[in-house]
Amino acid sequence: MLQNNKIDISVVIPTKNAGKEFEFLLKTLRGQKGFRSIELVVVDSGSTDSTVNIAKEYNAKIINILPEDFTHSYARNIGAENSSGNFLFFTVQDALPSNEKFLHNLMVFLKNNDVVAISCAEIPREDADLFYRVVSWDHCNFFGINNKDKIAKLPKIFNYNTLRQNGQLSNIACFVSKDVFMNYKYRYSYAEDLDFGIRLIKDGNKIALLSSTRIIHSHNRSAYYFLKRGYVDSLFLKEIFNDFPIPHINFNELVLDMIFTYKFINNIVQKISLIDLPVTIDLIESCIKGEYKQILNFTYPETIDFDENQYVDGKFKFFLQELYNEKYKQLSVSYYGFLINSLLAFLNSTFKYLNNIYEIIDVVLIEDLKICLYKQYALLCGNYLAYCYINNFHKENIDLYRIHEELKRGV
Amino acid sequence: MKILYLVHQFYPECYTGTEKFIYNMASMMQKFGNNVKVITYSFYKDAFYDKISKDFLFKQFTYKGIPVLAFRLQKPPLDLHFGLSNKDMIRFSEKIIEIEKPDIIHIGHPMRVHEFVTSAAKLKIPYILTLTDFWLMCPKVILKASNGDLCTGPQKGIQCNKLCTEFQETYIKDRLEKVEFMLANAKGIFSPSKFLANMFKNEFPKLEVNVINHGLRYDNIKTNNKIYRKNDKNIIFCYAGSLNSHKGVHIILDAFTKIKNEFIKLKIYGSGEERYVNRLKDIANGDNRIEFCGVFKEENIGDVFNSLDVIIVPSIWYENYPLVLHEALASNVPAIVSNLGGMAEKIQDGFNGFTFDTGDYKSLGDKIKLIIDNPEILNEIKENIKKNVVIPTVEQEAYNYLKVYEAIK
Repeated sequence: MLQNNKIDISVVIPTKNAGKEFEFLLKTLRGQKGFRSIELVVVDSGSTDSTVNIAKEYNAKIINILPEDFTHSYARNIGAENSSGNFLFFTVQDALPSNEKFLHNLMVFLKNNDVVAISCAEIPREDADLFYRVVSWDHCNFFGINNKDKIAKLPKIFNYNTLRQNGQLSNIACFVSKDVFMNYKYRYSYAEDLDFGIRLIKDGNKIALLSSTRIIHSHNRSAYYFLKRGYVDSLFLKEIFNDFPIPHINFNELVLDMIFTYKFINNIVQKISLIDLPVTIDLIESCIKGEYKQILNFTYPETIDFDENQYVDGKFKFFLQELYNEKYKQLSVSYYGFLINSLLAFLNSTFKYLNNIYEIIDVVLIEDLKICLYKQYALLCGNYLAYCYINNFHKENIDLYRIHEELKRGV
Repeated sequence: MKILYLVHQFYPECYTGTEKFIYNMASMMQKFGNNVKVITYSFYKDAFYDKISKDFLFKQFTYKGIPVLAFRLQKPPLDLHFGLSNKDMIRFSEKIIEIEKPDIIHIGHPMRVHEFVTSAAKLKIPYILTLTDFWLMCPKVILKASNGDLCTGPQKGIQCNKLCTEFQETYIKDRLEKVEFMLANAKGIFSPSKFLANMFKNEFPKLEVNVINHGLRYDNIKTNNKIYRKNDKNIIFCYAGSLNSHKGVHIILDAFTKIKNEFIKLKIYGSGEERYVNRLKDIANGDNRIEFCGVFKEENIGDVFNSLDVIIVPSIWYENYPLVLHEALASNVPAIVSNLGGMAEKIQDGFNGFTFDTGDYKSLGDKIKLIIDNPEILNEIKENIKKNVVIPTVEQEAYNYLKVYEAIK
């Protein structure tokens, strides 16, 4: 434990219409134990609600930036430049420290383990849906932090995978000394935290991802958000990692695949809706996988009614409807796409997760599972559309350019 | 990790604070990636249950996604609600624990399920206990003597023999010995309030009790930002909770009806014993400043707490962790509370609220008048609540327990 702790810390939070739980975040940060003083630095990019007034009430230093100037890097860099703490903690407006020793625990770990920056695993809010929980669990497995802390340095063999596994920091919670940060600062308009972590380990530093201390954070976003998220993730992974593999995908074939897979998920959802609940997880799993086994018996759908689907938001349906109207031409051949296999890999993860936690599937869980399928589908569509865009970058495909303009914004 | 929750009653049959706590913990632990199940005593009719094991009827189902095993004795013993020994339950509880194979058991209330605790100790399954009331030290639960006075604890049974003569000396002695065994074998004892923790530490001096505050669901909470000026007149006072005599609602009415001021209002939310409600209406005697508003839904809590100025918690028993007080504080609404138990623990008179002498309507009346004459003092109280009182979220409460489970497992 640290003795005679007199270190100041600045908490940097970019905000825009931060929502009703923002005040509780500031209150919780003000109540953190183990520091002589905690400075709150709020970088606001044009809130029209009470965000700035609440920040003032909690004596935060407020930096106003124009909405059009906002990038994840710029907002955080300007916050850091205007902070006066020896340490910086970057977080987001909808996160919440898990208890009053949260920041102190991060600092103690930093001091005792010769690391220069720390992030930590997330624990979900009480309303977190199944999709968020499965993805979060998958991430923790990928980074090797399910139930254990990880101190990472530059891997001996490095490629996009090992660099991600060892260099990932997260701006949901990122603790770093100000001196270290100011030598690097954030770059890029997205994935700035990953880039920061990789630069740190490439310079011979160690960083940590903690499971022993976690931050509360989750949100139930729409399928349309995950479409955009999948899109932007893939674009930036390619930008950061030269060796990130981009499959060669034909846009027209992807549209066929997207429509086929959408219809295929509709069929699965219909089928599992007919099962009397509660039932074992195995039964649902075999029902879904039974459909997969018959995939070659399915043909490309003639028509699709997008309006009926209650598990997907309107924006995503509209996006698919437009693609369908403009680009879809039914083929009278068996399915030969690739989206279904990617979806199956995700389903394997999902059932592994479910088997860890549940013994049976009831009406609550089955609804969550249906939504989960569509959100994963949306994420995959985003990934693959990005691959198409990257492949066709110089060919000026007008459809892809329009999609690119739509999907890259606001994530 | 597999976690079993033990509780004396559960949703959808019963829904008091302890059931809410157990549901919150089970639900959050499930969200955190753990396998959970609630084991509860129940009171359903025979036809509800689908399994039978000797004297026990039981059934497994899910409640809002949480697996529940509800059981009932076909012939319950006379001391079902206050006894701590039931030989018939030993084999049943061992069998259930052997089937479930939990890594840890968390007890929300041992009433009617205590033999599961004995079996856990025997089978070397670690367990922790969260104290939610005084049941373990008082078979009457609320530490109230037969003459109606508050009791400060059994003092090894001496006080019970003196104040509650309906219990035999040997019965109390035997019961307290079993409690000591249960507490001594626990891997951790927790309490939502310092007050309850200290009451147990006074009775069992070797006991270590850690405080983990109950968490709130903030999605329904809205901050009350009302600002007061010297000449504000329309101050709205409120009571919210069950309408039972130990809640002391009559004390508010005794105080309020004697205050001559046409501008103030009193809103009473809640339902309860018919006789007591009638008594309250008699005291109100048609005073049109007093409104009986019935029960409000949890999702309306933000609007309710934004439509009033001061909440009053006048209980005449030791409240352990009164939910309504914590919801009021989270909503930035000042409270006047009895100077007793878990209420007084949170409120420092004149700083973040007001306290009055328990059961004394004149003392309460003085605080009400102080606010009516100087409404602007509420501004400073609200500011102090905002800056100094942090009521955790359900996620934070669950995280603290998760850390406990992980350390024990």
